[in-house]
Amino acid sequence: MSSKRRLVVSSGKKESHFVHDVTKSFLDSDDDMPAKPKQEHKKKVETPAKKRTKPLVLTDEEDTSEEDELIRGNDKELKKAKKSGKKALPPGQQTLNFSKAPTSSEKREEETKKTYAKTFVNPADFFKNSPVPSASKLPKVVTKVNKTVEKFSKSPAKKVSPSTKENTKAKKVSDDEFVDSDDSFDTFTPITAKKKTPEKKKTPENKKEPEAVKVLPKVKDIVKAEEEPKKEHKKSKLPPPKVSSDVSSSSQVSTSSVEFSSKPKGPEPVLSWVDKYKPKRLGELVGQFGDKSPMNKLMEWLNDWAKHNLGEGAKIKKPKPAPWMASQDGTPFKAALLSGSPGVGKTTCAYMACQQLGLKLVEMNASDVRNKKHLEAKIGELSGSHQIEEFFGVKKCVPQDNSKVHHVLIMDEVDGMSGNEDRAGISELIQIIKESKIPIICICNDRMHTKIRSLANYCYDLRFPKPRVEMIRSRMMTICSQEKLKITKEDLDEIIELSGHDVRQTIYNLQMRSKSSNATVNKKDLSWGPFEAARRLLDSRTTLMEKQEMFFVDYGIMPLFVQENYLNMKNEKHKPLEAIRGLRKASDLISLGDIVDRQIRGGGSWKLLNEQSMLSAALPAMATGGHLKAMLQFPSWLGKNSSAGKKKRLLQQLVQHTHLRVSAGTHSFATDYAPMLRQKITKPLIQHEVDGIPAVIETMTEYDLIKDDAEALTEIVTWPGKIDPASKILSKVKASLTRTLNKTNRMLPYSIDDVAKGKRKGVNAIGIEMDAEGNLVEQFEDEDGESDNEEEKQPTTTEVIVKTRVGGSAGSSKPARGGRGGGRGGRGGSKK
Amino acid sequence: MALWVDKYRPKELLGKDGVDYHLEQAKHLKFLSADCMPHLLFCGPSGAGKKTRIKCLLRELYGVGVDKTQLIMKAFTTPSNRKLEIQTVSSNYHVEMTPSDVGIYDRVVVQDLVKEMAQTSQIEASSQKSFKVVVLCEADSLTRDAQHGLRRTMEKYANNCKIVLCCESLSRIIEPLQSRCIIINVPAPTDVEVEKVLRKVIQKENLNMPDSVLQKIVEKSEGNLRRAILMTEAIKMENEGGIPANAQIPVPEWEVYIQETARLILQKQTNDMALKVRERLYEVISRLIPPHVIFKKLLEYLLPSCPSSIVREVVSEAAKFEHRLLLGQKPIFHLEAFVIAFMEIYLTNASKAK
Repeated sequence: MSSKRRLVVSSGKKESHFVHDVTKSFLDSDDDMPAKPKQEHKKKVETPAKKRTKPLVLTDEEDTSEEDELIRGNDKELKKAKKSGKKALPPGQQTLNFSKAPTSSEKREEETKKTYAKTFVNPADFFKNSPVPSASKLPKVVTKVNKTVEKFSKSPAKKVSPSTKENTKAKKVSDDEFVDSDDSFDTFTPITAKKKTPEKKKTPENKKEPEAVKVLPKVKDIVKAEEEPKKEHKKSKLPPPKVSSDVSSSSQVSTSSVEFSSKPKGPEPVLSWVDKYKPKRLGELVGQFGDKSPMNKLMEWLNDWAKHNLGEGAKIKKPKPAPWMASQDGTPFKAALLSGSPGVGKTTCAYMACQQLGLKLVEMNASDVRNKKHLEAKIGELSGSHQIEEFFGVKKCVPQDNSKVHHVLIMDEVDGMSGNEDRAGISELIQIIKESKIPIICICNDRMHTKIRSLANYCYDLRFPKPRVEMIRSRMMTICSQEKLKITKEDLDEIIELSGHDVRQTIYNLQMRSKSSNATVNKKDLSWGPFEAARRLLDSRTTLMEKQEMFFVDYGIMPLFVQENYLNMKNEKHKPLEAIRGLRKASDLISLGDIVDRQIRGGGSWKLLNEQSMLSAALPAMATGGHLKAMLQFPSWLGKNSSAGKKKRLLQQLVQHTHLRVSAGTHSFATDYAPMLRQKITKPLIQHEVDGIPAVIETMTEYDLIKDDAEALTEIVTWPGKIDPASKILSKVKASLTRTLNKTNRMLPYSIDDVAKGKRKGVNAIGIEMDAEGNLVEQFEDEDGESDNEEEKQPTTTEVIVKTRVGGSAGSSKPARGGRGGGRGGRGGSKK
Repeated sequence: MALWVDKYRPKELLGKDGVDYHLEQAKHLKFLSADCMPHLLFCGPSGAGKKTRIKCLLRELYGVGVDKTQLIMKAFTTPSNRKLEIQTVSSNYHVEMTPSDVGIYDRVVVQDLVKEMAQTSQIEASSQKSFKVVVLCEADSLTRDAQHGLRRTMEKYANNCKIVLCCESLSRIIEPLQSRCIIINVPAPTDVEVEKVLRKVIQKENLNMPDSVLQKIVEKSEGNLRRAILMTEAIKMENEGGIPANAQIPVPEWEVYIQETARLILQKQTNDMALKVRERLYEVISRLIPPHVIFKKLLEYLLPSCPSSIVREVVSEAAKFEHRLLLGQKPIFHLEAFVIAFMEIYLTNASKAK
């Protein structure tokens, strides 16, 4: 608030300054070049006038009250400006000879007076031929001008939102000016105001132009050579106004101007279709219909924002939903995160939502520096500030109360916040979100980016999926018909596909095509995700070469994808025999591909990758001759492989534990021993319940099994669909077995670690041996400091007891003092 | 109490507790141990008695001292700086390990640990043999690199370290290694020999087992003595009171599972069935049933239902994919390919018959 007020006040001051400056400069120039001929002077005079031309428009648009003030202030200037000649001066020569000018300027004044008379007759014409600067008449004129502007804006040819057209344009100008002036608000308004008036004098020449709107372009043309005009020229290319004028004023506050370009004027070839057909109504958005669409959710969220986050609503604690629910209910969040691939309309949606709800928005995008300091400064002054318009009598402002929000902060391209410039930007943004009194909309492309993920925790998660072809097509058809471009549905679909369902890209491609019908649409280089690539790979419509290309998206996983899904490729026309024949071909190729894979991975012969692409991916996908009939499955091989790995570790541990008694390797242990052993340790418990415990413990002691091993055995031996005999054991029997096991101080020839997790920390085996007499000799060898530490950390869990065997029977034993020494223990033994 | 298979394991090559079959071979082994022992390569099917013979041989060499063993985890670092451990069982005189436990890093084991052990020599050469023995189990699953790594070690340190390799199939041992060893082939015992051993066990256990059941066990065990003895004990456990003449031989569950899978394959030959079969195959593989066993069992259960005209093709397909299995990496790919190939053959034949 305060900032804006300041702004106004200061602007007044500046104005006077400016006037002073201008006059001064004029005088100065006079001094500088007194010797120059009059003609030259005339020419020179023109430049300032032209410079002012642009701003002129601005005055028209500004609220009358402001204008009045401005014009009054500019009176002097206006008179001077009349003198300006028609010819453009070379850039740089901007000096005016004020003293010598009068003669020509007087003539001009007469001319302009005539035009003035005309304009009175026809208000529309008047607009082009700007008012004569007679101070007394001015106010009237201005009002009239305003009227005319309105008239024009209503003219059917222009689709831009009514009443704002001219306004917006002007505002743009002001915006830019503002940006140029180093963010200092003070300077810009006055400048623009002053510059405007001169243009009016100039315009008389354009009187006869039929449409007022055309004035501007012309002016531009003339002024092109000069620096300032260039800026304006740019602006004219800017996209048509999306947001109503009230928003624009707010944009002035922030560093980044929201660009409300004027609507395209007349025949303007430069405006690309993307901007021309930017959605102006909700219905024009692509793929945002339905209650569940992100757009709808966004609107609802914005609507309810104040209710939930201001006043009473804010006091109610709202629990944060689980991350996966973040897209369901936005009430707990103060910010929304729109994510989706480029060109699907995230930014547009955000703007539209604000526009629809009459909220003023401020955007910060990647072009702004958004580091911590900047964000703090900008946003601090934003929330709770007033629009500049409030001070110029615009009644649009909603009465300030706590039940409504008036501003929205749009943080565009948040994933672009990176590097040194935006350091700590995200964390600051999160901080801001937490304390914000206004809704914040963040927009990003890659939701899964690490930086974004922390932000996502605080945001209502709205994901924009890529619109389907039909969705894009309908809109494209509208555009085509408006542009009178003839295109077949198939071609259009192709363009859409090639553009990767990117609406913006599609429109660009369409425009390209409109220029030359045979223009080839460039395929958008897409980075395929593995899923997308796999889908394309298995799509029966893609060609062999495309399939091969897809293979190279990720040659590690594509063969797995193919193998996982080729069985789901069916063709209704096929008889069972044909179907299975196709499968046989495919599976044969896949099997061959696996051999190649081994050669590549094992032998390092990467040159075979092309062969593998054919054998493992492209050919099998074609061989089945069907289409993918089910959902694309993620390769289950990976999961199965890891579970096999886990079982293998368990089994290896079993084999190791029983190694002193069992001669079998892992495989024969699995096939022969495991079922029998399992029976040995479960059956007595089932048959004799508690009485069976001693027998079980005996077995376990004999084979040096621990409780974990028993569980591992069960896991390995129990087959799906079969009843696990262990489940028949009464729980009390189980409990008592565990108790007894814990009580019995058994000697194990190994240390107990958790092998199932795949990590064996600490080397805790013990080296103990006996000399010829059977005396125990303990040997400790420190492996390294680490194992010692391990020991200290978990002295209780690692029970290391060593049992030695003499002649196969359990021999004398003795608990060891702790397992240490692994590595070299064996060698020590052999030395003895 | 120990399982019978471990309880009645022979303890010496010849004599009262000696091995029950391959006696001629046992004599040779005894002779080898008496003289300067060369490197040995034991090969033979599972359950034939390779490990038992190795144990007996060691006992012959060093006496009962080899029974005083300890489990030691040995740590080593791979070139990629991964720290791994391998379990070894060692006595004063020998070390036993399974390098293939650490997968592709077995080369490091061979290069570091085995070599290190080989380099150190026995100090008390007078009281003991002048060499020690390194037993490498599952040698056929050693990678090529590891096997090559062994070559030089075997030659260079032959004086103070003898290497005993134990494997199932010679074909996966590289030629240079084979030529450095004396190959001890331990064939599976004949049915008569199995029966003899079983009778011995039954007698010692005072078990009353009908001959018919015994015959069934011998038949079922397919020369795998370990399995035969385990089955005998399983039957005893099933029938505590006394074994009836018609007692069923318990089939291990994994075999039942494969049998059911085969039934599914025969039942219907469609995509969906192939998917179902795949799930089951995954299950079998993840339970560490060796893929070649799966091939064998599948074929065993599929063939009886095949008309004789397609048997040849089916068997050749099975052989083809089993071969590919060895060349390839992922067993499921080849198993599935075989299943689908079988389906196609079977269906073609069925439609022809119509």
